[in-house]
Formats: sequence, structure tokens, C-alpha cells
Amino acid sequence: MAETLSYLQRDDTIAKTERMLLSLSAIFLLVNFVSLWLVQSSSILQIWHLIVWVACAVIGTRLLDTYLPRRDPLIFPLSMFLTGWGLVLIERLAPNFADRQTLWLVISVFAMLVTASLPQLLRWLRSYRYLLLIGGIILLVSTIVLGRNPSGLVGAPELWLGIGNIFFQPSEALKVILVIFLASYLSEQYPAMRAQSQLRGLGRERAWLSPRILGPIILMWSLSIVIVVWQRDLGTAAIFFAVFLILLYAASGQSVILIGGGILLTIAGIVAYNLFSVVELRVDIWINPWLEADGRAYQIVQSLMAFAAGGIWGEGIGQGSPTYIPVVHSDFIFSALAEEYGLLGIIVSIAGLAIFVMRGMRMAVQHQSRPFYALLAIGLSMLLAVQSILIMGGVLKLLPLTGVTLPFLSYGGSSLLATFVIIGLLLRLSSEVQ
Amino acid sequence: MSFTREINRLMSGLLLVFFVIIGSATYWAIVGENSILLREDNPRLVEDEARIRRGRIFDTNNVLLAESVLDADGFLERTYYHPEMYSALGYFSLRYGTAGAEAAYDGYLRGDIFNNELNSFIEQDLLHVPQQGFDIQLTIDVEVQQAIVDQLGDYHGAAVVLSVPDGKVLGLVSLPTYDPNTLDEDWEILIGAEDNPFFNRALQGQYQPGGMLQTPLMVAGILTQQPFDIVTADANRPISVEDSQLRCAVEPESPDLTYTEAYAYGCPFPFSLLAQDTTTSSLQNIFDAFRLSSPPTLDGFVIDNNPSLEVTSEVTPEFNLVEDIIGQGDLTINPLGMASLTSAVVNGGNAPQPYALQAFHLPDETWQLNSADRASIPLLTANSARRLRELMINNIQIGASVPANRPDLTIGGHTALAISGDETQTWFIGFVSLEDNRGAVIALVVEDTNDASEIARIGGVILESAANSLRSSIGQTNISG
Repeated sequence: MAETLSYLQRDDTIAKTERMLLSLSAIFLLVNFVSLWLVQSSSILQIWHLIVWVACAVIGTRLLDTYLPRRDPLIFPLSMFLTGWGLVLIERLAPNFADRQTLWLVISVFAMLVTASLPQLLRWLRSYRYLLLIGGIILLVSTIVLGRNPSGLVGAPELWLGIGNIFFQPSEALKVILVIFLASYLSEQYPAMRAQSQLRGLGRERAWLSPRILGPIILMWSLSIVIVVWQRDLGTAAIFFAVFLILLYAASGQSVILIGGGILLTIAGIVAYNLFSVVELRVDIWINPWLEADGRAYQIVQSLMAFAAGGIWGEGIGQGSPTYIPVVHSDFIFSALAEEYGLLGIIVSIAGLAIFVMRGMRMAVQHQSRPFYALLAIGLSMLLAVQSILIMGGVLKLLPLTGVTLPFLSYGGSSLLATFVIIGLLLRLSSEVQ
Repeated sequence: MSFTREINRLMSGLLLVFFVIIGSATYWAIVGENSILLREDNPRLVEDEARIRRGRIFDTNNVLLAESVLDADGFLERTYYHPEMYSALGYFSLRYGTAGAEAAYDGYLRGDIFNNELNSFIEQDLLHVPQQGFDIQLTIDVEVQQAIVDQLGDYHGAAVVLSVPDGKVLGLVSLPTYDPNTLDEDWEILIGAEDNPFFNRALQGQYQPGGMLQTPLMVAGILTQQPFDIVTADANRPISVEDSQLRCAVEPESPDLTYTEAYAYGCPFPFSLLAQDTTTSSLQNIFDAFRLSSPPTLDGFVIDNNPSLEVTSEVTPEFNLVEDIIGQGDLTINPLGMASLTSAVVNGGNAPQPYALQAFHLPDETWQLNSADRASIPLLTANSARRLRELMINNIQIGASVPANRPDLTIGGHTALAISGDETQTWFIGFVSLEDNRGAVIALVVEDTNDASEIARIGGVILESAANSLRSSIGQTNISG
């Protein structure tokens, strides 16, 4: 009886925490939307984006209370906070896309709720991993064959499948599918991987030569190369390979995997640099963008100027000039955030992402008795982390630009949908903690 | 089996990477402000500049000369209303910067003056209130400018008119000039134009003084009590300067002239004879005493990003005292310098420092006088100034400067020729004296003409206009706002 009461109290605390955080987020967004409205003297009707966000937050938290009363109290509010912030930025940077992004938010929250509320989902995903993988590969092949680019620009990467005016980027779904597949595969293989070196009497330093480890590495590396070659999608390939290496490392406990994978990634990069002009361009402007500040490196130079212009406090919403950066609402939204919210905004957004990822990793620790759950939590968290690091490092000239979106914040329906499916899975995982 | 070790390592690595990203962002946010943001290809610089509500420019009688007007696209466009003011005002362009008065008083017009860091941080950085510039009132009189431009017509040259004893610049014209309203469109043509309209001849001109050196030589004669009634035979004979000949400004009726008459007719020969009794150092002393080697400037007016125009011919390749003494040597002068020298003649030997900014204010506030310290510079003794003034008044009665005479005004002047390469240029310096020791002086140089009478007439008209300007300003503050 006392135990039941304790659970009830805990559920109540979760709901309260979540509502308080969502309320703070709503206040933050309200202030920003009103500020933006005042600065731009635009129609008050633009506030409907906020109303939709509030509706999603209220309905989401209510339904989660019903279906997942014992869940992580930070994940949903953090996701909504960052997504709402992204919505403000998109409204400011590319108002034409704000309506569409708001609709994607509704769809994404719905997808999250469906994902989170299916009690048997995790068991199904584990059981039907090969079916999922086949589906993912079909998606990849269909993109290679039928891919389009919404911009219609000749030569632009054709990474989308489209029906009419609605486009979806299959690689976003494929990322999630691959993580699920790998978590499932490795959760079965990892005891053998860890025991192998001891059984054979091999030193740990040579255990990575085992076909159980080396095989999947080569397979994934090849898959990544295929993506780079056919689709020139450096970002997705890098994410696939990095997340895979991390999962393999977590499963096997072999640090050498990360080192070897890094070497393979470097080799692939060098080969790609010499074979593909798009890779060559990105590496060149990464090494020295100043030579072509008005030409090919315009985007990254303007991005760095945005960070400098924002300074510590930022210019304020609607007061900076981030629109000098081409495609700022998508790949470079982090730079826009830096210019208008300054270093403080950068720290808050990174802290938000870091807390999100850390909560996922915490779940992995809590699920150690269930390897699939643990590896799935690691994979999903690291998927968002790697993607964030790639684009944040890219716009800051720490890494070559890879053209991926910043989770939650960037414009992109497919990305948002995939991210909210990940949130749904993480919420489900958090509710399964024993 | 446990993943704890791997998870801990991954989390540590992840946090490290996030900190590196924050470190990098911090670097650009702090260091970038003084590095990449200052790059010329930073479009934000132009945008920041465009946000500034640049002040208006008025003439001494509050005639609006220039202001920033919203165009059809909602951008502020600098508009200039008086073509006769173009060469004095210069230009303001987001693309090409500033020149002329726009450059000289840029700090006022942008509002940088008196804008302290805290105020700037609160208003501009925090509240994003557009920076408001000061309106400025110039000492220049648009009526005087109009007279200069009308009289010079298609001539190339320059004129400077100063008010005495205060040193106000009443007129400042350099021709040819350009239309600052269409600067961006015309830039490529203007920058390549042979007659270089960007070059401010009044302030930057490096003209041969020619017969203009006769004035300081006369002062030197007064100071050493030289007799000016010594007659020089065939005083009207020309002097060869390279392939040209330097002549009297106007041919005298008699070839035999005293120094007083030679000065009035602008004849170089009698002065060239002074070389026999003069040394280089004594000549240099005269140049230094009258500050001919370091003439006054109007700070900020001269732009240094435009190609300079060498109006002079080749520099004298070898020392030649005769050429130096007749103003065809190494020394070059500009109209502002000559106007300053002339102002000393009518101001008891003290040359007031020229200035062009009369007052400034923020919109809807009262004008504040420009109270910068402007002590006069002693160039002549009071006695030599008085004697020279009499000689210049005499020049209006006989000689080359007669056409400058105006019956109702006390005018003095001196007209002379100089040679630059194949061209002859004509100089006129003069003054008009009014009541209460007030007056105006002019220095006028016109290229490619030896019509001294015409240039003297032009000088007289401009002096009359300056006199009218000064008379109309007597009894009024000029800064009624």
C-alpha cells in the first residue's frame, strides 16, 4: 500500500515538474513571439504558431499522463522548449516556412504520442528488426532511384521522396531504423563479443579482429560510402557511421573500435576529397574560408560573423542580420541563434541538448539488465548528439560542413518527425525503468 | 555484463565536445567583434551604417543643403539640393564612404560626438534605437557659392572665400565637380575622368604660385625698408620658364615700371632681379614666415583614397633661384593658403584659422556654437600689413586687378600668372573691407587661361557677394535654428 502511494506521489511530481517546465517554456516563447511581432510589425495572427505549440504541449502532457504516468519528466518539456524556440527562429528567418513547420510539429507530436503509448512497441521493434532493416534499405534505394530536391536546383542533392508538394527525407527515418536494428543485433551479440577475447585467450587489443565485430563495421562503412557516392550526403553518412561505432563500442567495450573507426572515417574522407567535388569544396572552405569569403566560403564566413555580431548578449530577436547566411533557417539556424541570442543563447541551447542526451544515457544505465533497451537508449541519444555536434561544429568551423539539420531547432519536417519519434521511444524507455 | 564504463566514457567525451563547441562560440563572440566583424566584406557594417539617421547640413543662413530621405524602398538616401555646394559638401555613400564636409564632420553627422560608451551600449546595442546624428550648420553661404560657380562657369579651378577676422569659410569651390546624388551610378566614370572631379583643388591643389609670390616679396621689401620707387627698365619683358614664357598679368602702358607698378601689373621681371641680392636661405625664410610651405588646412575635408592630381608641371630638376623667386620653382601653393595669407593683410597681420563648422544640434534642440579654439596666427607686422593693404588697394586703381573694382566697396587685390607645364593659370587674391574691421578675402585660381582681367573681374564679383553676405549677417545670430 505504501509502495503504491509512493508511486502515485512520484507520478504527481513528474506531472508537476513537466507542467512547470512547459509553462516556463511557454512564457519564454510568448515573450519572443511578442518581441518579434513588435520588431517586425507583422500581423498578430502569427501568434497562432504559439497557440498551436501550447495546444501540442497541453495535449501531449495530458496524454502522456494517461499512457506513461511514470516517465522522464525532462524529456518532453525540453523537446517542446527547443522546438518552440526553433519555431520562433523560423518565423523570424523564413516566415513562409513557419506555417509548414507548425503543421509538422502537430504531426510530430502525434507520432511521438503514438510511439510512446504503444506498450508492445519495443518488443515488436526488437522482434522485427530485419523487416525494419529491409524497409530502411528499400527507402534508401528508392531515394537513390526516385530522389528529388524540393528546391528544384540542378545539381542539388536529391535526398527527398515527394508526392506533390509534400516531401519526406527517408534518411531521417533510416537513422532511427538503423539504431533500432543495431541495438537489437548487438544486444544479442554483445555477450559473445565480450567473452570472445577471453575464450580465445586473445589480448583485448586483438579482439576487434573478430568477424563478429569487424564484419558489421565493414558493412556499415560500405553503407556509408554508398550514401556518400550516390547521394553526396556527407552528413548522413557520417552520422550513420559514428553512431554505429559508438553502439559497437558500447556493446563490445573495445576502445580500439573508436580509434579504428576514426581511421576508417579519415581514409574515407581523404578518398572522398579526391573523388567528389562537393567534399573537396567543403574541406577546402573548412581549412581556409577567408580566401573565398565572398565566393564559395560565403556561407561559413557569414556564419562566423553572426557569432561575432551576437557577442555575449545577442542582438535580440529580429534585431540581427542572420539572413545574410544562405539557408539560415535550416542548416545554419545555430548561427542565427548566436547572432540574436548571443553566447548566452548558445549555452542555453547546448545545455538543453546536453541534458536531453544525458537523460537518454541515464536511461541506458538504468536499463543495464535489458541490453536492448540500454543500447537503444544509447543509440537514440547519441544519434541526436552526433547530429547536433556535426552541425554545431560545422557552422563554427570546427568541422567541415556536412549539411545536416540541428535537431529540434532547424526547419525540416522529416527531421522534426524523426526527432519526435526518438522522443517517443525514449519516453517509452523511461517508463519501462524498473 | 555492464555498460557503465562505456556509458561514462561516452558521456564524458560528449560533455567535452559540448564544452569545446561553447569554447569556440565564445572565441568568435569575443574575439570576432574586433576581427572578422571589421572586415570590409561584412555586410552588417553597411547595414549598421544605413540605420544611422544622419544629420542634415545647413548653410550659414539655415538653407537646407543635404539630408537623408526615405526612398520608395524604405531606405534612407542622402539627397543634396544645391549644385553650387557639391564640391564643398562632398558625398556620403554606403559603398564609397565620405568626402568633403560629409567626411570632415562625419562624427557630428553620424552622432558619434558626445556619444559615450554606456549610452551607446544602452541605446544602440541593447535597445537598438537608431543612432541619431547631429544637424550641422556650415559657415559657407550658399549665395557666395552660387556667385563663384556662376562666375567660373566652365573654367577649371578653385576659389576660397574667408571671413575676416573670424576665419569663417564663406565659399569653397573646386571645379569641375560631380553630382553626389548620383555618385554610386557615376563612380566608375568619375574615378577614371581625366579632369579628376574628386580632387579638391581649393584644398589639395599644388599650384605653381608664379606671380603670387610677389606679395610676400613685397612684404619682405617693406620689412627691410626697400624703396619701391626704383624704376626697372623694360620691366614688362617675359621670363622663360621651360618652353613657356611668364609675362605680366596685363600689359602695362609703359615698359619702365617701379616695383609698386610691377606688383600692380603682375610683372615678374623686376622681381627676378631680386635673385641677385637674395640667397636661398633668405628666400626660404620668407616662405616659412608666411607659412607658404605649410599652409593651413580644413581638417577632414581632404580625402586620401582618391588619386591625387598633380596640377603642377614637373618638379624643378635643379636649383634655380630665379625660378624660385618668380614662383616657378619647387614651392607649390593652394587657394586656401593664399586666402589665409591675404586675410592677414586685412587683419593687422594676423591670419585667422579657417573653419567651416558654425554650429550643430540634435533635431528639435537648440543650436550649439562650434566653440573650438581658433587663435589667429601672426604672419605680418601690423605696419607691413597696413602698407601691403594700401598697395593692394592701389592695384585696383591701376594694373591687372582694376576689373575687380566695385565703386561702393573698399577692395584690394593682386592678379598674376603662373605656368604649369604647357598651361598658364591665373591667380587673383583680394579683400573687401567693411565696417567694424570686418571683411572678406578671396583666393582664386583658374587653370588654362591667361585672361587676368576676366579673372580679376570674377574676383570682384565674388568679393561683392561676400560683402553682401557679411552685411546681411550683421545683427543677426545666424543660428536661430
